[in-house]
Amino acid sequence: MSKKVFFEKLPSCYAGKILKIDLTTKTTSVIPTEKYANDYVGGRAMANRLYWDEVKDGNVPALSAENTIIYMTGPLAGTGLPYSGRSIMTGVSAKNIPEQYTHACSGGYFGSVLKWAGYDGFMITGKADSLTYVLIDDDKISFEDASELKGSYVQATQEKLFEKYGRKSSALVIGPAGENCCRHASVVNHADSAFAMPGFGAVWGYKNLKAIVARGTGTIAPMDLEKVLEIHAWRDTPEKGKPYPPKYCDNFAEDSGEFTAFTEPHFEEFNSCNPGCNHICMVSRSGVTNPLDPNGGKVTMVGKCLDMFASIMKTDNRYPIGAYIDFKRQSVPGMYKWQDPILCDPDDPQKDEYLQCYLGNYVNMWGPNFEFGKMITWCCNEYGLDKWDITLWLFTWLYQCEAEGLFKEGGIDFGRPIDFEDPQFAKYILDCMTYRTGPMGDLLAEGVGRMIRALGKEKFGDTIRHGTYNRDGEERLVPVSWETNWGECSHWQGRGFQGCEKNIWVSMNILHMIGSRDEANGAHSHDHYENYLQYKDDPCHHPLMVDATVYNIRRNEMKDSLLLCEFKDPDPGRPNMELEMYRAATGAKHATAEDIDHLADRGKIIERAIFMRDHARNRDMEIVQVYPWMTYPDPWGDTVTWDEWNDFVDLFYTDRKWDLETGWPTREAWEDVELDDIADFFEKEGKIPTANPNYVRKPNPFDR
Amino acid sequence: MKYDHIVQYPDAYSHCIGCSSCELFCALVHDGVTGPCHGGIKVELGKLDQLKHTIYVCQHCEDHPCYEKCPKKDKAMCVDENGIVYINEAECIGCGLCAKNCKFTPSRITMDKKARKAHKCDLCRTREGGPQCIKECPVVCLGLASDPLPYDPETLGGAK
Repeated sequence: MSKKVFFEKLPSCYAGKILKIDLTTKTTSVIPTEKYANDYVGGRAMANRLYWDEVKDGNVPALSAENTIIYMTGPLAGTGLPYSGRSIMTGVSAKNIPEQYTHACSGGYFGSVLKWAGYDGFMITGKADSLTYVLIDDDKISFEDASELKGSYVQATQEKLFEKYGRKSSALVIGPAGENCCRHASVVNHADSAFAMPGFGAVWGYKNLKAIVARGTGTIAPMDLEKVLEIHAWRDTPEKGKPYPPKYCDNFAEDSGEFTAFTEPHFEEFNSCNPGCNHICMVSRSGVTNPLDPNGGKVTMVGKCLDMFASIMKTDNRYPIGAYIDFKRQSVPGMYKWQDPILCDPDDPQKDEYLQCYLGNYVNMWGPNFEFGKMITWCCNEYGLDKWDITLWLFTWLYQCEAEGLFKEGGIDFGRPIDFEDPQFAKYILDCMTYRTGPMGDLLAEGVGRMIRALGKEKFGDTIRHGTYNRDGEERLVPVSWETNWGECSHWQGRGFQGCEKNIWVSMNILHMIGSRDEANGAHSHDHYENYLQYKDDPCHHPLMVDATVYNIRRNEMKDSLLLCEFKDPDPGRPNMELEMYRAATGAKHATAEDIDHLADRGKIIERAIFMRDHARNRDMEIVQVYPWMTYPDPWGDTVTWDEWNDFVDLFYTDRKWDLETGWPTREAWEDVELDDIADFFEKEGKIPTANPNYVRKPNPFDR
Repeated sequence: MKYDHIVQYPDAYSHCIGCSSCELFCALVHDGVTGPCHGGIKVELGKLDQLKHTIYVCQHCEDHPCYEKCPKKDKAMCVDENGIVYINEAECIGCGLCAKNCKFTPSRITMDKKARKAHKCDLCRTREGGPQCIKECPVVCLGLASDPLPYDPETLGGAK
């Protein structure tokens, strides 16, 4: 079948070119965006197709010259549409286990500036012979010596580049963690817009790529300006459209039930992370003492939601049910915490049910200790480390292993006593990880998952940590390491952190399972309340649960392809926001909501094609990724059995027209999204499945 | 319209979040595009460890040296009956003398060197509803110098 044509010629919301950069030969070439824009929107979908076409064999080590990194913007960047302007990076992950193709997305100013320089994205291959940065100055591309930036922090690196190229330039940079190939290293733009989780900073470091700087004098234009103006002027909460003065702040963490005095009162501010955004977030704290500055200079620290957890890890979040299930199928949990109130229709008879609040488990770890949290946050920002994994995995693992006496038993010495009262302990650990110093430095730099395997996963990963309870005082015990799928830390997976209900974690675990990383970077779980009432008692056997899962996969894919913000997509007050924005930017007036879902399905299944081609992905490989974590109790004591989980995977595969035995899409599944060429490829590879009536489910490999 | 200019309110009244909506939408409503060489208002993002952003825009000076130095005075660079200094783009030859003679640093006039045109704030003199930048700012950190603050600072809960 032929693909639907949305525009005859490339709309002016695209810059028109994708730059190919070879660091080994110091040469560049160009791919026209027009080749892909109509069929793949932009962002993740376009990166997936580019990777499929341009990288013939992606089964390469993450830390290798052959690992191809793709960076893509979407059609919305630079148009002024709110919550847009984000971008995505793909390639073989250094952190995830095993190393495989994955992605990271981020806000930042770089994407829009790159488009003004004339490029919608770039691909990087090869390895520079010494530390280099690439300057994209409109059409002039140069490979510059970065030796004077060697070892410099994330912010200092960018400030030096601003001095050279002006404050209208923008740079993606790595910090010392990336230079030293630490597998938790980020690629960062501006104050704290980070491509963090897959460890792409380590890949850049291996390639001797310190930064990519863009400066442009070109233009971008949305096709429907009146619509852009209307969407930008739309205010979805009464708070917007009012002044936001810095707020004096001397306490926080009241959500946890504990009232925490800041040892250092300061001002809480909001900042934007990309041009044109009218969503008020990116929480920062101004007037705090820089913990890395011996002179005690005052700084503004971007902590987002994470500096709270870094400062106090006593209780899990609280979640009102309406945070993820509401009458509009359109809410995200993050909004409840620190951005927008839940938008409930005051006349909705079920309003009180939506707002029922589950108070999270007592995880009983460190804090309150603002200085400790500040040290973690600031070091991560400056060293270029992934704050999420460092806060919620590395430090929770250290705490829980220590609490269970595992380090003493195993004779593990970090070179300094473990002390969660002392901010200098946090700095010491992050220094060891970043600079590969101390007795454990090299292991820490390999990432938490690989370190645990090197030490012995059974003891240092799977030992149960005691002393954690739900709000009714019942023990809810999980392992000392909160690892789940593909070497990632638990995220909306029901236990450890974010103790949501079974329907949420079952649905989210399909996303995590069929992806290659923590997929909660894009979509949390959303559904209609009336559907929730139908499947909540047995989510693994209800087709509506599959519908909700597919809905969330599509939102995730489209959020990452148009490139919107996970805190605003799906939007509570604007159910067709993706479609409206796509039309406004591209002028594709005849595009429909069904088209958006179709484009999402096409982009997503190419990712599966890459997994199958490069990493031999099949059902056996992915079904075991999330299962073990689900055998530990959620806050209500719920788990899944092997058969329950397989039943749900069967329902999901069947809906997607994937083979139950192999997990490979059938020819029909490829052809449904007009990817006959990929079907032909897999036909030759012998990977177009035929129905196997004798398929027998495999036994549970984790029987214990 | 009265003689006036755009001002950025103090941080303690409303913290500029750095979204650059003022800059983008100025360029969009005037030229239909976004880009650093378009628009009459510019946001300079502050140092990364401070995040205090500064907005630069024409002050519509009474002595307007940009107008005085324009070789096509009253055709390219013009002053209207309300004292608003504006550019008639069709006549602009892009010589850059206006930008060079602006008495502020950075110059409040943006040069599009490729198209050989100058751009500056015209206070949206022909737009119903006044300056677009003020309208698009999600945190009300811009206003007209002659207008009172749109909200009483005492009610905003900010720094005292």
